[in-house]
Amino acid sequence: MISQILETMRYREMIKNMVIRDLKVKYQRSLLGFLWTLLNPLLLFVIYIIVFSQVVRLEIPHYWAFLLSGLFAWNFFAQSIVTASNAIRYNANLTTRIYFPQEVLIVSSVLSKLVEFGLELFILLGIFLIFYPKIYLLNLFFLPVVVLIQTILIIGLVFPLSCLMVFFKDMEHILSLLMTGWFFLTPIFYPDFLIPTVYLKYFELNPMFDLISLYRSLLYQGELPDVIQLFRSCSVSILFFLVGYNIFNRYKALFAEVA
Amino acid sequence: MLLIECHSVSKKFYYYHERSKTLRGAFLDLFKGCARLNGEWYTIKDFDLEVHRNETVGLIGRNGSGKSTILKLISKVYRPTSGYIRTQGKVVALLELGAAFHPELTGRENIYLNGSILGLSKKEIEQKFDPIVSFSELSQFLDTPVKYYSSGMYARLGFSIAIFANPDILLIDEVLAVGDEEFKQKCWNKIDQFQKEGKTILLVSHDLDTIKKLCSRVVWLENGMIQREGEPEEVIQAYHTDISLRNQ
Repeated sequence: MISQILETMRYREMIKNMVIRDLKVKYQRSLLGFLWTLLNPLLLFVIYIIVFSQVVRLEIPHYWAFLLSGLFAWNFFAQSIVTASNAIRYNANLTTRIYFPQEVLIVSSVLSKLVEFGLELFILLGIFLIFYPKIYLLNLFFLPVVVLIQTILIIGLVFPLSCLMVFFKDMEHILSLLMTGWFFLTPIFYPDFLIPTVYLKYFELNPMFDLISLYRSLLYQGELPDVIQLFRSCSVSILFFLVGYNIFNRYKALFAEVA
Repeated sequence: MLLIECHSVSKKFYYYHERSKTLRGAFLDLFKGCARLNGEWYTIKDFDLEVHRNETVGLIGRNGSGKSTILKLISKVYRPTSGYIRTQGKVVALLELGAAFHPELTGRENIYLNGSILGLSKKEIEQKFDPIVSFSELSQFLDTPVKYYSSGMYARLGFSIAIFANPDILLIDEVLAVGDEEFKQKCWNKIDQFQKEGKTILLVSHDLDTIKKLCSRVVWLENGMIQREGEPEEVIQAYHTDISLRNQ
């Protein structure tokens, strides 16, 4: 595994160029460009604000800040999983003709989503700094750490998913259903203290549970992250990465023949 | 010095078209004990080949005899089912020129992208950028997206990038059929120069005259196995005889 990671590192120039390629192709000759990327989560944001502060009326102070602190992190998660899982299939013209470590395709498509997420975070931080008094700049030192943990988790999940994508076409539909369900079962638009205690331990099995509450403590509560939660989240992500990479390595030799 | 070593290499493919590519099908397969896996065939069987430095070896044979599969095995796109392949130095395959291009990107951007796919660092690409452009004769179209290129321009850029990636082993698969006479001549000159520099070339072609001209050794493949190997004249003669016998 280590030698494979090293080989992938040697292709970092290709990773960089693939990220540039993805972003260029997406944004060139589009007037609104990045606004379109923002529009999808913003629209959801407005809808949830209307539904949960006017109709269902959750008793949460500054509900907009509560929602924002989780929604964009989820959006990064969902978008990059759906996109990167298809990376091997959509780049079949490369896979079947030229040798390079297949990991490059996965890593680069997650990283291009990460670049977008980074930009979104900057805008988000600006909004928080202006309109939300509770934020402490010192805590924000932890923000890149949490983003890194989340990125490792995403790559770890995409590894086995992209194998399934190559071999079974139906996975595309199943995955989008799965992500919708996952969204509702993660405390993003509702707070975790509303979850009945009986079910809480099952909700906590979700690796995104910890991550969302880490984002929330940094951005919404303005507190330092819980050390235990940070540690747990970090080890779970690394575990997902190792298991996922193992599965990927077992099947990647077949991609050139099937994709 | 031994640059390519294939030792009893076999490559088995499965009949995927009969096999379900849907989850439901795979689920049903479980109960049928994968009985629907309806066959397998060897595209390459017990293939042995040793190519040294400074050698140009030609691969000939009819369609489907496994020539291209061998090139894909040597360039590591496929893994052998059994046996092993060892190569020394950088391998660059001219399989389908410009296959890695992204149509929306410009020629310049594609040079960088393609170079890095071939494993070059940014510095190396920058060093080779000008020679690549001047060889391809595309300097005025450098900032045009390659989707507007003609197929000849596509091939020219693809060939130039691959050739300046500085391979030790060059795998060529029937790619020089594109482009005009002038550019073709330029390519052959470049390949000539490669031979003089002592590089190793493996050439797949149906153009037997070219093979005869360039190669120091010829391998004739039939159904994934070596039918005959040796002096170009002699192997090509035997191949011709075989074809005319079949046609009678």
